[in-house]
Amino acid sequence: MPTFYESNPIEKLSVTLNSDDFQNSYNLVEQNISPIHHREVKAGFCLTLAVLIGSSIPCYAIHYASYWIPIGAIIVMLAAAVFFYAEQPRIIKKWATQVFESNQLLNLKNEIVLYRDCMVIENEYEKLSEYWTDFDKCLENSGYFVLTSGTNRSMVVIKKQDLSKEQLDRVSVHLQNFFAYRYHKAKS
Amino acid sequence: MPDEKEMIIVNYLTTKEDFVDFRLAASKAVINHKEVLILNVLGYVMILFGLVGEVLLSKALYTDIIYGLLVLFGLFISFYFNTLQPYFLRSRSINYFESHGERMIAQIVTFYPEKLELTTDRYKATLPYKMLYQCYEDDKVFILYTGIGEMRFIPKRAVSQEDCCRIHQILSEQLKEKYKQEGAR
Repeated sequence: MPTFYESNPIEKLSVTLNSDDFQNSYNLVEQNISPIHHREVKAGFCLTLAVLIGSSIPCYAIHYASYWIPIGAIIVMLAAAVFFYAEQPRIIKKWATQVFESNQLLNLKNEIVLYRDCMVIENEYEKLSEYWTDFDKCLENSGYFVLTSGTNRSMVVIKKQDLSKEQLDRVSVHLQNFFAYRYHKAKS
Repeated sequence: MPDEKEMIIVNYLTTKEDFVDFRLAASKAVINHKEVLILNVLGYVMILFGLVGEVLLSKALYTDIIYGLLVLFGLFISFYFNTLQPYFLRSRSINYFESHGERMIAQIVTFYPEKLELTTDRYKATLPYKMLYQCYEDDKVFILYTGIGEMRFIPKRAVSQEDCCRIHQILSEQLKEKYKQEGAR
């Protein structure tokens, strides 16, 4: 819990998540595990391979009579690109819905108090504190702040819609300062 | 204030063995035994087919390689869930425990007839049993799930035989079909 040295709260927030919020936050985390997990990167990688295979067809034709193996490989790569770009985010969101619906604690109204070194989350059934150093990273996009891999919560979501402009600026600056290189601003 | 006789208090600090047992149990809890059986049978068929092919049908080096790969792949899938997966999981769990020692703090879990309390230095929850997603018990741990992927566990070594039976009784009565038990008692 917060100590004397942490002084007064920096911000007090009230956050209630719905299924869409959780889906979007979960997808944001999955897409930002590492650069290779971005759907654009995965799809781009498959398209590049398809182009490389396509460019090797003349060389292949010198040694073999038919083209069906490289053509088949190109089709597989194009299908993989479509899957990574369009289908996988849908699968992730579907899984996120299942996770959200399975956990009755996630849709409760949470009172979140931010301190210098930690945050305290309280709802009808639980009260927990997480130090900023407990989290793996902080992601921010146009709709949410998402903190991942806490000790008591695998994902903490702060919905921007619930914050005023001043609160938003204060929270954003505070998280950026504390997470430093573990802070990532995502586009979507 | 509930009657003290109705309460069961479990107080423990997670050890490396507890953590490994928990991870193994959590993995067993999500395994579909029918799928494992099908994979095992498939593996044995591949081994048999590979061996028969290698001895009776193989006529060239490339067919030797194909039948050899078939045997290897068969061995892999027939031994994966029973031998390889627990080994890898044990090794990963030990690594996680050693690199996340600060997360392994003392916990107190108190069972009441209608609710349970979870307490650590930084977490306090009072949860009616209906808030739990499911529970799993094997011969070494109880796992309490608040949702998919969110769980807490109680090592049985921290509980007396009598309390173990009482916890089992409370959880199975309260959670009914959401309570799973394997290899316990």
